Amino acid sequence: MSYKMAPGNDRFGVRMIGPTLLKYGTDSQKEKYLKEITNGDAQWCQGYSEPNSGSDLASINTKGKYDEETNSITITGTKVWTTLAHRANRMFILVRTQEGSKRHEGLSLILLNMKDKGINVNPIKNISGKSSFNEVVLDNVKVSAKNVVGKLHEGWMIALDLLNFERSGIDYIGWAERCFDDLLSYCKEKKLLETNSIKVKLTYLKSSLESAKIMTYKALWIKEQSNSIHMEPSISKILATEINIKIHDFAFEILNTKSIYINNNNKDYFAERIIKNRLFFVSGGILGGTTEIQKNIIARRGLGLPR
Amino acid sequence: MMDFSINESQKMIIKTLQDKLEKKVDFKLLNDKSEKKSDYKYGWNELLELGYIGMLNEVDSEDYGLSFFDFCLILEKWGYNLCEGPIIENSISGILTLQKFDKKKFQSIITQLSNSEKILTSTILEQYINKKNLPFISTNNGKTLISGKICNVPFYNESSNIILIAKSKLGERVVIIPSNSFKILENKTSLIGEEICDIEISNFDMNENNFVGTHENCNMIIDFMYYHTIISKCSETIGAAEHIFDITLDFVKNREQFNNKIGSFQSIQHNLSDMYVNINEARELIRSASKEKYSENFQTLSLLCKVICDEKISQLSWTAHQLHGAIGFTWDYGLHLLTKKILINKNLGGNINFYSNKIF
Repeated sequence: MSYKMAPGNDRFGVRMIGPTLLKYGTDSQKEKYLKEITNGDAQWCQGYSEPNSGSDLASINTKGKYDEETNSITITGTKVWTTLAHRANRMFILVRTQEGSKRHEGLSLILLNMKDKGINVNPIKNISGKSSFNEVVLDNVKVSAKNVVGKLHEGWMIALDLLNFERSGIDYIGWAERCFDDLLSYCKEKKLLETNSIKVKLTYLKSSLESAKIMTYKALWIKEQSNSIHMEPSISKILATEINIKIHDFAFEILNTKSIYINNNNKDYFAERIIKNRLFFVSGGILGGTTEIQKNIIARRGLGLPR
Repeated sequence: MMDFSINESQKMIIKTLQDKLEKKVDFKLLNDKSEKKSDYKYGWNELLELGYIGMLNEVDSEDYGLSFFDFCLILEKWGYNLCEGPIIENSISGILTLQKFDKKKFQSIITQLSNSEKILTSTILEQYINKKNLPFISTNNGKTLISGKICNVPFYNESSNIILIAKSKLGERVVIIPSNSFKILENKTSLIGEEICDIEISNFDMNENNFVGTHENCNMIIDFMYYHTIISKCSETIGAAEHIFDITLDFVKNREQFNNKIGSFQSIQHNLSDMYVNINEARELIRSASKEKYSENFQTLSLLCKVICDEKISQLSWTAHQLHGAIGFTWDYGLHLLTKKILINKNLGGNINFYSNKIF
């Protein structure tokens, strides 16, 4: 779908909360939400980052007060950089539900309806001029405790597992492969392959694209094999986001001045798409944990290097 | 869904080989050898003892023999332990090629190669990229004669036969010639002490038994040898890279500076992560290519593997030197041997210009 640039691809539902619910959800959660995702009736968004909690996700402050009598949770706080929140009807959100808890303790992963009273979405314009992400303010949003994924106060590991589903996403590779194929066609059409340096650069890009694709498949395969934490999702995310950007950068270079104009009269769809995507893909190396965070994960959790 | 698993039988093959090799690996002797103070050769006899040479099978079989994928797993360990011997030449250009293209005619020599009564070396990597100076086949008084020079032949002194490309008026042919029919023009030594020879043959009288395949399938045979050899060399390279990674990880976990293990510094950690990422991507691409031998993408995939190794794995060895500091720069530490092995493999079989012309 990414290769074909199909609109309406709900990666938060299909790729993140869907597989997470399959693994940790209750029967009623599976029945309700998986059906919606499968039918394409839902658009999910991810309530993780906060104004002061980016790479350091465990420092989140959004609070959820549990009421035993009504078996409900009242959520107050602010989430930010929430991609597609302006279009979403569902959100999975990480909330500190245990009062006084610190870091990884006392957190819960909760499913919200974006139409719930007290949710306000404020779009933020990004580098490409679009409002793909948002600030989401939650003011005493009341939700049933039945919407907690896994156990109350024990959401951290589930949230991390969900991130691994996100990181092993195949869509980065789909975008990169599409851009590479279009670029190659463009180079053939303009007879640019007669220039050795261009051919050499394309060879390097193709080899990295293939290895990133293989590692993405491996990340997906290994998630199916066992529940333990593996490094492949982090490896896959680093490689896939980097090659995506490298291919777009080279396309930008090849297209030269054609790629610096964005206007409605631009008939060169490929050139217009390259600059828009290149600007948008700045986010690839940031969302779901920056490249630097992935390297920290590999070094510390994977290779056992000391803090 | 692609399958990345290593089955029990493959795990056993790798472990048996690793156990056998680890008992004897000796960087001191390998160092001496690279200075020509010793003729130490490591790995070949161990491989013969395990019987792995003769088990490479043309057809992947679940109950007998080694597939090409299995063979590449062996080569990873082979490269890890800096082993030396004509395993790739003997197995790919010898056993596998002869089985596939001329099994009936060469059944006897296949058996001899499998039980090491004969050892075959190959010139494919040198000749494939430089076809201007191939030995020439001519006819004279009813005789079929071959003459010419070949440079950079590996394992010439150990071999009983050489498989090579020659040209005739009708085009190229693959031929097998007894090694003692050649004369050595020059003995050379590689960066890590491997012997390489420039050799010459003059009016050697050939018969039908010297020719592998036919004129019609000659290019197919040459391509088969080249692309399988390229993947094999990449597997060997990735093994050497894994060894570099292991000793580097061990080093940064133990080396202390500023009252801290240097592995606790984020800049060092990110370098290690980069190395780990590059090894994983290259390894999985190579393993996946080794399973694709019947696919139409096999040739392109093989070249992409070589490009990844040449670009990222050679860079990885330089990063390892940077992280080791001065100790890695010394002759006494094994890192230099592994780096040199990777550099040697990088320069075999072509370069980025050659590969990009093939791919596009």
